[in-house]
Amino acid sequence: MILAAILVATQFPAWMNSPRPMEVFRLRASHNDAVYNLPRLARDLNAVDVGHATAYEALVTGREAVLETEVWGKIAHTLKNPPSFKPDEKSISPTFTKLFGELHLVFDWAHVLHAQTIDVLLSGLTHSQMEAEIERLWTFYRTRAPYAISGLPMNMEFLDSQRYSGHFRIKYPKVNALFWGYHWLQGAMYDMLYRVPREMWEPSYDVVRSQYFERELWDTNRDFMPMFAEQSPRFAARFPELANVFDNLHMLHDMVNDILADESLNAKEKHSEIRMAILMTLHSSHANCDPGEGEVMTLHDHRHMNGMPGMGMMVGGTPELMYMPRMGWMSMEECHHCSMFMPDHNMRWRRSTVSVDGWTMEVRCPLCARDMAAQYLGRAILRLPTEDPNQLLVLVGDEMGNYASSLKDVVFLEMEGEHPECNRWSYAFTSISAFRRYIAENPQYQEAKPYSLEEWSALAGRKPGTYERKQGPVDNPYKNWHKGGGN
Amino acid sequence: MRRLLTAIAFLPVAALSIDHTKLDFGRPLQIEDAHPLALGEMKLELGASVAMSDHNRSLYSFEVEFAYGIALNTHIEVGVEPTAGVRAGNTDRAVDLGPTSVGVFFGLTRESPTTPASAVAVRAHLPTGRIGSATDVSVTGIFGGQAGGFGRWHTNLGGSVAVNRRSGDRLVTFAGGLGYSQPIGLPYDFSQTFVSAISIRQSREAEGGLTGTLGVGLRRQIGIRDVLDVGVETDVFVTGASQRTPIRLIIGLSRSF
Repeated sequence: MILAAILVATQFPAWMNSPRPMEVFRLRASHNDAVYNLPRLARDLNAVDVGHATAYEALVTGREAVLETEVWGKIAHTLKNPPSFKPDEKSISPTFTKLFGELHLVFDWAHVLHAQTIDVLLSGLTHSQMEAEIERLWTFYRTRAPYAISGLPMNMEFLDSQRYSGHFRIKYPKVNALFWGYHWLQGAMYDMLYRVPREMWEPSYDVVRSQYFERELWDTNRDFMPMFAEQSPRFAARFPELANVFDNLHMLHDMVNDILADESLNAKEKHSEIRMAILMTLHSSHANCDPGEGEVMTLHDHRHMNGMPGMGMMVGGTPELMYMPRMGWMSMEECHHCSMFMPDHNMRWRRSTVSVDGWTMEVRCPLCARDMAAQYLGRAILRLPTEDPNQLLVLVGDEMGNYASSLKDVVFLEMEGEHPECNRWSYAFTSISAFRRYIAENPQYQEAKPYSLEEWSALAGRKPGTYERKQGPVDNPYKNWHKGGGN
Repeated sequence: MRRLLTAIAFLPVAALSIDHTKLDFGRPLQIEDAHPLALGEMKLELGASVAMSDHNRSLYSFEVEFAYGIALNTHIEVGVEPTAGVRAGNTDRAVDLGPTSVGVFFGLTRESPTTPASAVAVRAHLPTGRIGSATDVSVTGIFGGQAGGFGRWHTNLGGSVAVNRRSGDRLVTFAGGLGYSQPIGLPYDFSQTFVSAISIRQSREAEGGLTGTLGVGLRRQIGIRDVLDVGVETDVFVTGASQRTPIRLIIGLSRSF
């Protein structure tokens, strides 16, 4: 009914009915292809392109029966032996491209945005230049071509509740895990690089890449596709439109996968549904809509999570609470270690993040980040603000909790008190002189000693008395989600 | 000599693209695909070839070409093709700036289940060198599509009108080609494409006839935005007074930005 109503109400834009090539080149810029400043990431992303295209070609050429075996094996081989250069996806999926030319344009243009924003983050530009360039890319993306995807938050539960939804992940769990693994990497790489000093790119990618290859690519038990703001909350908060574009793009991938895997649809119906899925996610389809508004559980439900404009509504969620796979119910406004409200608006830069075990969480202070990381096995990345908004402290840990630092003179204040004040008594400084200035301005901490990184790493705070485990309406809203192959 | 140089000068300026899977005329073979540059895309091509004639004469040709995606589905091209002829064992040399070519390439359709990819290119060759003393305008229809799993077929059909004809020249000449390209190395190598083509062209000179050329080549990506091409062509037949080129070796480099 809803789809029919949309069909009646909405005309397909002219470009979707045009047989012409319609290709637009990327923004010409000095930072183009700077992704090769981190060569392993560049090659891994090249392999992602191969993985997408190879699976699609198999799905439309009668090779579905070997998708989980032979095709999966070839994709896995490519992922482990990635191409040096970005491949031409059309040459890998010629049949798919021929059948769904308009979809190829949408995918390709959004992939260009993905690639160019990563180029900027790896370009070595100053923070202000970098942010201006990303804004320029966003403007270019949405105005230069008619097939841009919407930067509005969209209700993921609605998009994933179509008649075909769920088929692909049920029928082809291994290849679906690959898709969601790619999207995990494409989300995680933004906070891995955003405002992160050049010398920490490689160590950070060591951690992320290990997680990608050891778990994320092969995880067939994931509840839902990885959401951008779950992996890169700092970038998503600063550039919510981009976070939404990438989530909407990844959901469009899921919708297309489900349509192609739905055997109840004939070829004509599949083509029609794919065109509808494109229409649902296009920027032009939501021209008069605003973020934060819209009718609940409709195509124009553009509400977002409180505290996170770069994330639409999730399955079973409300603006206050969402269920995060592997972590349970969460509020994106509160510290995930002490449950205190996070700094927001012009003080948002004071939030810290911790990445470990495949997730990234925002926390309120260095202590919360360190102690939260210590609760999990594996290497962690902590990103901590200092007294200087332009100097992010990045700590990359090993399995024993020993950290390599982006700031060699870093010192810490940690004079543990009650957590409502934790972002005042737990603090990282770029130097001892900065520490002393802070103590002079805050004499209540005059007894505090400046901890070196080694000393601070060995500390452990008390369990915050303020911590409150969130409870949602059900234990896990994804339980039995799509188990029947559609909703 | 004049006939040989004229035959080379007849060739249209190369169309341009970046991916190794895309075919540009002359890069390395005399076939092109129906893919226009994207809006805003620029491309620079450098090429060199040596053609050995049946008369111990070597003709060195060079190409410098630039193209720009000036509008959706449309790119413009400009190029020069200087040549140098050398007779073996002799100091006789003929160096010429060659013609300047300008063109417009219109992408008409992308490939779909019911239509091939198609394009039309309109090009003018201007008399900037001695051998380019004639001006002609050519129109080429270009078609292409999937052939088998990953291969592609390509067809070019074109005619050229001499605007300021010299005595003994035809007013209209025709040329065409049929090509096949295939990425090689899939699914483990994504960086190179094999290409083969057979083309036929009519001599501009009335006493000349048809020349049929067979070629094979390789386009290989060697940098983030660079494609190297190498090819070898042979004239498999000639009619009338046209001169046959037994072998032509081609090498080129394309960069998109």
